[in-house]
Amino acid sequence: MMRSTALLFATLAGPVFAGPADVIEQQILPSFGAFSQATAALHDAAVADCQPAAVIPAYNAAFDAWLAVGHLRIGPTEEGALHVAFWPDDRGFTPKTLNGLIAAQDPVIDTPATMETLSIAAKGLFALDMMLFDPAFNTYTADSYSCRLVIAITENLAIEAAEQEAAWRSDFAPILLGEVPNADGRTLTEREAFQTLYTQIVSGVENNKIQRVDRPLGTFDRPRARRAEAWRSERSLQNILVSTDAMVREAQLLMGADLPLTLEWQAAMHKAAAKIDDPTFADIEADSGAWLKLQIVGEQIDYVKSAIEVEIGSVLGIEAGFNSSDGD
Amino acid sequence: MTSRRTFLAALIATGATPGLSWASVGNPSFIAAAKQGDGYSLHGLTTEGQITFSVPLPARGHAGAGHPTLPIAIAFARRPGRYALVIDCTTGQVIRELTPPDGTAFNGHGFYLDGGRMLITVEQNDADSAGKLGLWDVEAGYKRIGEVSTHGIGPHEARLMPDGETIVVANGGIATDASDRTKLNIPDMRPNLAYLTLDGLAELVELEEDLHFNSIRHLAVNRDGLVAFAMQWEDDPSYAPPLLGLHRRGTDPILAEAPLEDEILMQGYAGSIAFAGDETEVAITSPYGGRMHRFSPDGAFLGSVTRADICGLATCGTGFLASDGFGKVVAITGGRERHLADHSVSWDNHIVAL
Repeated sequence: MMRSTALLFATLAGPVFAGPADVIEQQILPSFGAFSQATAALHDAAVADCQPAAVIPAYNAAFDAWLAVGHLRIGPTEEGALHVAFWPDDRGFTPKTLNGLIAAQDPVIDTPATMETLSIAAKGLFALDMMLFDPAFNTYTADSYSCRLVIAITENLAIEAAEQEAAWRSDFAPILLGEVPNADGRTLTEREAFQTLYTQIVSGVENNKIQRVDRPLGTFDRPRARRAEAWRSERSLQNILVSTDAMVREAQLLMGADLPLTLEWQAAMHKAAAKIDDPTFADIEADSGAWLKLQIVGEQIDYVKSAIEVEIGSVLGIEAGFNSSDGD
Repeated sequence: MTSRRTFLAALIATGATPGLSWASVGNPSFIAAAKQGDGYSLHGLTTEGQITFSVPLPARGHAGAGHPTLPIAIAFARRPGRYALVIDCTTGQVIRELTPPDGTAFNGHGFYLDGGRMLITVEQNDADSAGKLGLWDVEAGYKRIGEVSTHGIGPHEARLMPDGETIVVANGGIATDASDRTKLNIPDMRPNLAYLTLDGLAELVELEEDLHFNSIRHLAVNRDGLVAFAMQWEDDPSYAPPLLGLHRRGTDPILAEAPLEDEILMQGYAGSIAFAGDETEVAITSPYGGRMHRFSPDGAFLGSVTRADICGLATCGTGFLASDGFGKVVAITGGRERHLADHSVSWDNHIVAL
């Protein structure tokens, strides 16, 4: 069932991009397919009944589906990811933009083509998070502008997701598989494809820690719970776990091996996460014990990343990037 | 006036063998530092991305400076730099080791002046990170002959203006611990762009207060004196600040911003900057974002080029030459990449034009 490392090296020299192909065909493309379907279902749900209680289950399903691919910041989703998930938003672009639209009853939302011209701050999962969960936005009625806005955001998201799936399937996967040349006119080698996907996994796990854990943690003296991701929808902890699990699965497929050390730290992360009481991390501001529990989850994520580097990067002698690890 | 005797003395002092020129090492147009296996190296590059010479470096180098005529390169140590090496590119031999005065460190960049007779090094005081330019007499065997204040903290790059006498300095504004690179003054940092002559300060440009976290670090100057400066944001990158500034003497600086979704992807960091050869574009690179952003000289966003771990960037032909940490060298013209070469090195932050 598993290829040994020696065998992997042998396949690396061969014509078939085994590791990258497994990741793309068994994980990335099916996950984009599932995300595309989940956003279409979300749009259907909003059309049927735009009010939060009716939309939220489909919203959560779409967010879970996104987490399987949200770390892939390459190809169609290098920039596309921001159209789905515009976060962090310390400058408050999302509430500002939504408020502006609602106050003006702006008809820009009424067609998919004009909706597409809007800022990313008014699109995607985090615009919905605000509309569906924030008390300043979520008390709208079925005949309101906000109701139309929610439907328009879900429609735009479904279109975006379908385009991302199509672009990955027909444009970018063939580049990663070495079937067609890259933008610079050159065809990727298997090692480069491997390295590209490996870098996405390592930086994705790293970003999970930096963005989803370290930002709310702040410092021990000054925690910043409201910097947690998707706290309004109480998804902060879930997002960390679902996305890390997806990246570990990708790492296993890429390497064609079990990665026992990585799995050990992944299990440790889940164990540490189970001790967290509040999935939004709101309690870290008043409770130093809660703060420490979140910090421990962050440490386990660091170990997951190091384990992937040991079990893949060191074995194959590849690094995630020279300049991006230490600039000047 | 240079007599024959002093000319010969100068040749001996600079360590160059008479008759040798950059042609002796394959006529490179650029030099660039790299990591090669577990070691470090300095290479000459042609406009087609081919390596013309390779010499080992004893440690990771940051930027270099190339002598305008002799095949000699200065390799600066990474910050805080305790040495700079004068390297004979024909042999790889270190012919001089320059050390900054006590209590001073080299801070990244430097360049030759006056046809190669003088070397300028960017430096800062250990005690307070106050910046200065070190002046070295090349023909006297790289003798330290003076220094001038940069009128700022933590300078990183300096460039000669087209008038041949004014020097523009990027004072990054960050005070660092002299023993490591710990940043000491982030809440209060105040970078600036300073224009100096050897007589003193000619003009000082600061950005608005709300951009005080934007460390001005790298510079490019076009033929008619437009200065482009690349910045690195020291606060949370989700602020998505502008990372490119444009300044013409005596006017207010222009901040060049990309659309929000592009700006976010740069992760608050620009590592290198250059004008296109035809000067219709100026570009910055972000290895964190794996992106190059192109702007017009009046600050309008023209588009992005994606390339993992891209950093090195230089003016080349009508466009740019760019390098990445995976060994690739590409030509970029009008936003279109053309693959040139794939070397088994990791190219470091900068490509320096000769």
